[in-house]
Amino acid sequence: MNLDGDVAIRFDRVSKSIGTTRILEDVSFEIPRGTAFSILGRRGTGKTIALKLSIGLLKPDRGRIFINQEEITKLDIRGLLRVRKSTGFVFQNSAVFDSISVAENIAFPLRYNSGKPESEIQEKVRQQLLQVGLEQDGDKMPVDLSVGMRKLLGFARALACDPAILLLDDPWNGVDSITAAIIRKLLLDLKQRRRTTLLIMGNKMSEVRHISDQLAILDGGHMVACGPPNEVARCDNPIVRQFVSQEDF
Amino acid sequence: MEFGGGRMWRTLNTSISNSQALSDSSSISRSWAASTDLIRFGFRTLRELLHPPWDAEEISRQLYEIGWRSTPLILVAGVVVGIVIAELVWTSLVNFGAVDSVIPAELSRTMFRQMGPLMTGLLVSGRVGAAIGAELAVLRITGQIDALESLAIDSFRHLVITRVVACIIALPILTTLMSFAEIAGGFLWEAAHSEMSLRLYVGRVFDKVGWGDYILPTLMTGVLGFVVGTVASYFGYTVEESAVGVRRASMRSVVLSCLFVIALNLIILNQIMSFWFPGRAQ
Repeated sequence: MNLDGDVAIRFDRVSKSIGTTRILEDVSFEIPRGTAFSILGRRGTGKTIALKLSIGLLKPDRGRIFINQEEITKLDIRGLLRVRKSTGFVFQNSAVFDSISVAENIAFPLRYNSGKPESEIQEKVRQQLLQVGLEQDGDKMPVDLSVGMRKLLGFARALACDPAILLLDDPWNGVDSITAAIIRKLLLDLKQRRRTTLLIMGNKMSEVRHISDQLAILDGGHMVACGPPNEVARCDNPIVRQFVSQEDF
Repeated sequence: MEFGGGRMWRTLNTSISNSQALSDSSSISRSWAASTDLIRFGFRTLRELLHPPWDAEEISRQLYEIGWRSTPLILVAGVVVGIVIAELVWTSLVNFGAVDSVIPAELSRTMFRQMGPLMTGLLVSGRVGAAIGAELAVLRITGQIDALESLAIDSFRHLVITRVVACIIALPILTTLMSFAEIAGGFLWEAAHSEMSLRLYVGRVFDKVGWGDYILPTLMTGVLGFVVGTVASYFGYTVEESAVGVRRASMRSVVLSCLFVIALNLIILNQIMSFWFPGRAQ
């Protein structure tokens, strides 16, 4: 394992059960800073659980998780909140705040965490809306947006505080091809220009292959393959073959 | 055949009673776990309450939702309860030979010391308890609480503490409104049955009521506010299911808040009144 300061996220033999169901079993991986790591798996294989574990929204039964060299499994709520200031999370269902407007959704974390004056917050909100193509929709309520637009709003909110690490739970789920292209461009831009570390959960190889530096396949609680996308594509594991054959890799 | 049938019946009976015993014990252990969780949640709320700063903007928003928007209900219910209580007090006292002049004084003592705090507690439990329980449950199952946490915002302080603080502040104010609305209802009844003027009625209302009759019971409703806010927040914040969970959270919030309000009203208010005003407790 690489233990130098260039590792943004590290899972060390992490196991997690929900009720009597074993979701993750001795899962280990590490993500160097500024790279993109994707985990593919069928629905219900524990991808969302792994993401929630990585910022302490859930506690593992066993194993250790590190964010920027800090073991988060030992932190209390104050410590976790401090660590989360360096991360952003794009939820599968967007999880936008439906009682406040689109612009307020983006301003909300800035008001809490940035300490910036209101004029700077409003300028940042404008930039974020422009970045995801929602500049005309700032005054709308989230309920008035389509699924794809809500997803883009989730992106804008997660990126508002310029996180060094971005966690994405199936970002292409339920979006049209145009929105999918916007998301892909956004992720490439984040990785190449801002050196943001990306941890992407997905279920289609075609969606992540151009972005990912490393790719892992999760099945039955275990990582059945892990490595650069081209190496994983050559793996003989039947689950991996299923992912590859479906995507004309 | 009879022997075999009897044995089968006994086996069936035994397995039914075994499964009932198992179900009873698991139900007891679930209730025990829920009770200890609620107590832990209450202590955490108390601990966080003692550590300002609180989110003033969110508290004022919750005060508007919990306090201001409950005002029409409190005023209307207060007037109606006032009329009903005046009728009851008049019926009881007239049977004992009391004259009309003592009715306003007895009415006001009942309102300030018992009915105001109790009725306000129950109405707020129903309206606000259900709303807080359902709202937090929806935030939980739609992932919005996780979203808050992911944005480095302490969801407990932002959602639970603000609502509990708003309940603690709102309850005494709403209780005051309720007590005066009840007295106004009493006047409506009095005006319909006698020729007592408003000035005379008001004079008699405050004739035998001291500040102690008003201040102590009203301030103690802050405790009811803490309990209603905490219980409702607990059921909403900790829900783990889907739409069924929202319904259960809202229902349990109301039921348990109401029970706590009645019990606390009986224990705290009566004990405090008898402690501070031993001669006037009854």
